[in-house]
Amino acid sequence: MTLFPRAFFSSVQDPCISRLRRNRPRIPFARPHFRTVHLAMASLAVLVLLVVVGCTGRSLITWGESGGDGWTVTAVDDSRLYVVSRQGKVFALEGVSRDAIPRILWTHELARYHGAFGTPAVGREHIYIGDKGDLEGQNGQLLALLKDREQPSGTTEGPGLLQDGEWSHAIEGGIVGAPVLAEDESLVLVASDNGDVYAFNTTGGSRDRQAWKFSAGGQVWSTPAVSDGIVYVGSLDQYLYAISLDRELAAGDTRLIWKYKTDGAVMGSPLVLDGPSGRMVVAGSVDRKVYALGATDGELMWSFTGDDWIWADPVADDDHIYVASMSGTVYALDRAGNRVWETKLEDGSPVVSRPVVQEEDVVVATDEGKLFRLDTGNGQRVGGFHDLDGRVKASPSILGGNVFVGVEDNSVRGIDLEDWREAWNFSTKDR
Amino acid sequence: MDAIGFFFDNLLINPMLNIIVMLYSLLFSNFGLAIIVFTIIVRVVTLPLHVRQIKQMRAMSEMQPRMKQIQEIKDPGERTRAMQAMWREAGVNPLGCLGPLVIQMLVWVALFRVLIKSLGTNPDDLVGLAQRLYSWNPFSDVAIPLNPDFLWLDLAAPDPTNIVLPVLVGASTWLQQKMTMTPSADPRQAQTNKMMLWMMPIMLGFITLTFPSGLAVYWTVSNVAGVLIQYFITGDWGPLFAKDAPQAQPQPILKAASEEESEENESDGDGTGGPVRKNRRRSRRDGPERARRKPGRSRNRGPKPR
Repeated sequence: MTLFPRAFFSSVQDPCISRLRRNRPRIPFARPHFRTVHLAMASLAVLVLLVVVGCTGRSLITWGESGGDGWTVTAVDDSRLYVVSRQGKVFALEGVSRDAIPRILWTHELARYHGAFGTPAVGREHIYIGDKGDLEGQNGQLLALLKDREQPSGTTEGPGLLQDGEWSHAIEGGIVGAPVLAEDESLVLVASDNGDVYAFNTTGGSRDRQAWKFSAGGQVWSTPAVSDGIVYVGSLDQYLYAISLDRELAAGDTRLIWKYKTDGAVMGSPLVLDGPSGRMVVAGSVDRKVYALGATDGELMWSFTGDDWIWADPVADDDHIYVASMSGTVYALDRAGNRVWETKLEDGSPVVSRPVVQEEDVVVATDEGKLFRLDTGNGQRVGGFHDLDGRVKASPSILGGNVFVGVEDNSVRGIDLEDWREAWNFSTKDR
Repeated sequence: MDAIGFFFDNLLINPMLNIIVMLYSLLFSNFGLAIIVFTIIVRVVTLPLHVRQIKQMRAMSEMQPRMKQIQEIKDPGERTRAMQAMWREAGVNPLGCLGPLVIQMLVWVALFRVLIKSLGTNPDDLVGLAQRLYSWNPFSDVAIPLNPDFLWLDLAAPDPTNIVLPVLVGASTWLQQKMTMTPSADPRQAQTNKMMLWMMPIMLGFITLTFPSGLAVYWTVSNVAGVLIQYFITGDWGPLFAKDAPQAQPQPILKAASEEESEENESDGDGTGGPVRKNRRRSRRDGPERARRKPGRSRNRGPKPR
């Protein structure tokens, strides 16, 4: 069986025929069969082109447009800034005050294509990093690095080695939310992308590392919140879970205290605070609502409906609860769930990162990379906005009068809260 | 490039994404069913084009004897004019068959993007998805995140068996092409048809190995729907089960060509392996084209005698 028309190939290969063709008077579409061959070939070429474009598109979407490497996340302690870059490198920095020159204390490489989405938890001696794993969400790990570790000498390929006193624990499915310390730092809690919530002992050997595990019904991207011996965590299965922190739970006893079904996935971390009728848990959902539930019984106290998905973690000060939507609207609610004010940010871009409250201001970073400062009293914008030239999804950190924002252009910007100017910049690229 | 991106995003990907999310919510949170129903909707919407394509194909078949006569006209210019006049009279546009193909390809590429953007497994993908869903789409809130599982497949990843979907895609494409193939009296055209009949299924089968299986589901359902639609419109299976296959018309020519090929492969007895009747095909040519060809320069010649 001949699949290819011999005539076509021989005409291409034979220079004499080609020359004859050139000398022949050109009559468009003179030979219908050639036109058909050309059309067939053109169709094939278009198909191949589309496939190539499709392939490239996938690659770009996965690694370029959407990141895929994690976010540029920041955490602070008294004087240091810790950064996990999109390329999976951990930096400990000093010199993070206004107009200071940042100095790298140490660095640590995660594995290739690894990174973090959640803010590291900073303890007294260790910093805990939730590694998201590789592209398929495999081989994630919880990493405990010493805050005062030695900078490894020389350059090595691949992941950095752990030093004495450091540990890691593999987490199947990888980690999206942030680790959280509990029980005077004796436990570190973390949730995995395949729906498990883990509690690990921060001390002891690797054999006794895992204190307990709880399986939610769906992926968990939320950072656990801990209060009065209860862990609150949201899941993409649309439930908000309250589970016991007790590490000595008797066999057969259920760890689940209550769960509440919303009408959408719960992405952000719950907020636990005192409400008008007792302790309450506040969480946003993709169903555009903010729910306030009784902390001990999970009874609905109130709900508030926003204009779009609520992804960013809610935050609170003494007066208000601040919630930002995926349409770029910021709401201030009182503790009874009544709207005090709402402000639509100019760029209308989604807000994924948790807002931060500093004295009289609430600072909100949008996905499009604009940083806004709003008056907590009336929601009016204070000063202009900062254009950070890159997407922002990770939550900002505040240290020494600066708000530090990890930007998707592989930089960390420090904005001075006093005069609202960019006073500090650190690039994680090529370091 | 921005314009192309704008076109793809706002006129194809986003509407398609919202429709699929809506179908997903209505069809028991099953993305596979959503793709199948969406494919059928696309087929129904493009039905007028498909009907036109079938009519044109039929008309082309009926024109074959006349086309054969026209091909005997010596002057190429006159031949072309006669051909165009014939097409005009019959109301046939030979490029008309490309319409459904182009639409199918556009939908295919857009669906690829939809799958990547909607079934992503990390927060970045979901942030991107949130920006593409219309805020008035009542199904977007409850449907997120979308479950990519369907039968044994993760619709965002290639078929894990590496065999079932590639074979289904290849076989259904072959069926669809076989049914829509226009018979041709021209042996070269027939050869091209034959080549396309096998090339496309093989190529798409290979592509299926590496692309998300949701695309393969779309392609298979689209092909099967195409075959069924054609059957219900025409009332027969066309060239698929026809006793006198469309190749019947050009058969003598094909046969002649194959005879010629076998003759060419025979040694001429001088040990060179050269053709015995190397100018046989050229002899069917007339007019200025033949005049310019020198003996021994036929495109159908075998190895050159030394």
